[in-house]
Amino acid sequence: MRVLLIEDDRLLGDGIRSGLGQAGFAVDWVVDGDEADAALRGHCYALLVLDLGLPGVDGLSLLRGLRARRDPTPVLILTARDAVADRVAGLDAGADDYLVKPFDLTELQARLRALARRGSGMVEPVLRNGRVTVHSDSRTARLDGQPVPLSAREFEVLRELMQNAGRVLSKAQIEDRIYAWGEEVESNAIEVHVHHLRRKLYPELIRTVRGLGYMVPREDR
Amino acid sequence: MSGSLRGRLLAVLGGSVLIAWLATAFFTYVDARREIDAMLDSHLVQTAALLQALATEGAPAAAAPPPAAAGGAIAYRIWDGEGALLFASPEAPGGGAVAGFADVAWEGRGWRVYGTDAPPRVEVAQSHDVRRQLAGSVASHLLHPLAFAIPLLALVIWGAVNWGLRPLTAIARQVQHRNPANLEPLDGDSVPRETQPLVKALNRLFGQVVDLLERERRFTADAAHELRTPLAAIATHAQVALAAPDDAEARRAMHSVLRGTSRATRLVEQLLVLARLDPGGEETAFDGRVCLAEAVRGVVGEMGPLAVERGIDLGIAELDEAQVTGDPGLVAVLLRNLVDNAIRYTPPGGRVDVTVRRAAGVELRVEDDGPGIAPNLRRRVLDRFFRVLGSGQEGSGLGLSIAARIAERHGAVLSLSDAAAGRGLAVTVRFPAT
Repeated sequence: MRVLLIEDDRLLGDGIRSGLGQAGFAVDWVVDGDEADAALRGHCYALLVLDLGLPGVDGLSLLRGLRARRDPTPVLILTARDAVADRVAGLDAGADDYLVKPFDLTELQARLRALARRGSGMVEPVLRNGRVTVHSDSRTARLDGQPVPLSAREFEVLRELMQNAGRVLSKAQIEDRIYAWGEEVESNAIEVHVHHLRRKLYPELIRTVRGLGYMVPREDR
Repeated sequence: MSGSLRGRLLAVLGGSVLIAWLATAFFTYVDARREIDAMLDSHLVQTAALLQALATEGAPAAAAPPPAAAGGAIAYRIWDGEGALLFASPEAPGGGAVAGFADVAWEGRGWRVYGTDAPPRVEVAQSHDVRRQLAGSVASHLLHPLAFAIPLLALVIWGAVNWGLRPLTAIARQVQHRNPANLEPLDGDSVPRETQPLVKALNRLFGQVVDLLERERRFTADAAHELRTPLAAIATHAQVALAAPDDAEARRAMHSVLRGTSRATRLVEQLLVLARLDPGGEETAFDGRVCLAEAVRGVVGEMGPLAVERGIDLGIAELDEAQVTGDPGLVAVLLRNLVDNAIRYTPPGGRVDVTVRRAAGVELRVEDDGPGIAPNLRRRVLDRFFRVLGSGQEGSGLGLSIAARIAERHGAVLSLSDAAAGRGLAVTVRFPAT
């Protein structure tokens, strides 16, 4: 899941990027509003993490601009100000959730997962299709109820395909969603991940649509 | 001034009443003495005439009863035509006969004596005591009412003072029943004119306390919020370290934890300096002498390693051996903040110059060739917690405001300008001449 982090504090930004990376998020990190605008124009993000910061950094106007453009991306705001008025201002400006600094990293991860789930219209943190279930919270996949060990990237590829079951995703689309800027992507990386997934689960789960990409067909059980 | 208002009023009013009354009594006494003298003198003359008439008729003087006079007995002596003493009443003063009025002392008593000129000579005398007693009793009658008047006056004053102080008591009660958070002004319209200065002064004080509290509250809130970001960074990196799949990532995260800790420490230190600079009360003047050149050498030496690490050419451009009045510790903090800022915000390869010059007073200058600060932001960078955006530095936002505050405490003026080289920032602190 690709996340845009807007955080002007270098040390904290670095920590959040590492922490979210550990939880399988692909994090693009920018330090000001201009960079954020550029990033938002260039990519499609599943989530936004926005530090409202202290006087001088106007995160709220960025948020309002986002909503004025009818961009529905879920936004979680980080704030040092915990007064009710500040939180209300953030939520009213279009944020979906907030965390007050200092926060617990695992809570940030969980809240982002919840936001992503709600953003995609899911009720529970489990994706089901045929014999396979994907558990976002524990980041595990099961085949016929038995856990299947997957690497972090394999899990992300599987989750993206499952989430879009019945739709074809191009290699570029998948890459865009699971890799952040500056991450080394081998030209055949997605093919390798898909190959491993077919081997660990079952080959018919992921179909190749030649010239277009991959798809998990909808299966009813 | 202390003591009871009531006591003071009683002393002043009671005292003046007493003095006025005593003066009246004294003058009445003097007046009465004069009148009594005149009356009794004429009485003496009449008595003498009567006795003379009796003596001329040859009636035995001894047989005549001693004539009573108002206020006491009259003593007398009678002589015959040849000057021989015919008769003297027992207490009559002796000595030679007098003619006309005379005051005579005889055997320790004063007498008023009147003698006739023509023979047979008659002399009548009356004791002074009698006259004094008469006048005294007149005056003492005047003094009696004082015994009642003084206690009555005290009572009236007590009541009047209570009545007069009622508005003050009401204010006292209002203030007493307040909780410390209630610093609303007192109602100044319902009090008498005399108490209005007090109410106004109290209200002014309340206003100042409100401002002070508000400043403190805002500062504490800002400080707490400022600390949250480094704390969040520390917590995040610590959790990253705990969840790290390999040692290299864990070590990297732990280094970040340390960086966050030193940042929070620095922020706390800066806050403590500010707290010490802002006692919220009166400010004591410094009386120490600080050798500015010595302080500059110390701080530049101390910051040398940081400058080298960041690739900054830090040096002293000009150093007059000047002294200023002040606190050596605070002057060092001022210098350290200015030099630290210059090093931090100047890109590697830059240059930072420190100058101490004797001008009208003493001028301290720290100049860099970094990006400088836009003129419209120069006022704001002196505000607490203000940071220039995009500087990429993790400052506390307090360095310059602390420096400005220390300068202010020393009667010095801190100003920001373009560096002489045309780019970069120059911070100038002008100390007053000593």
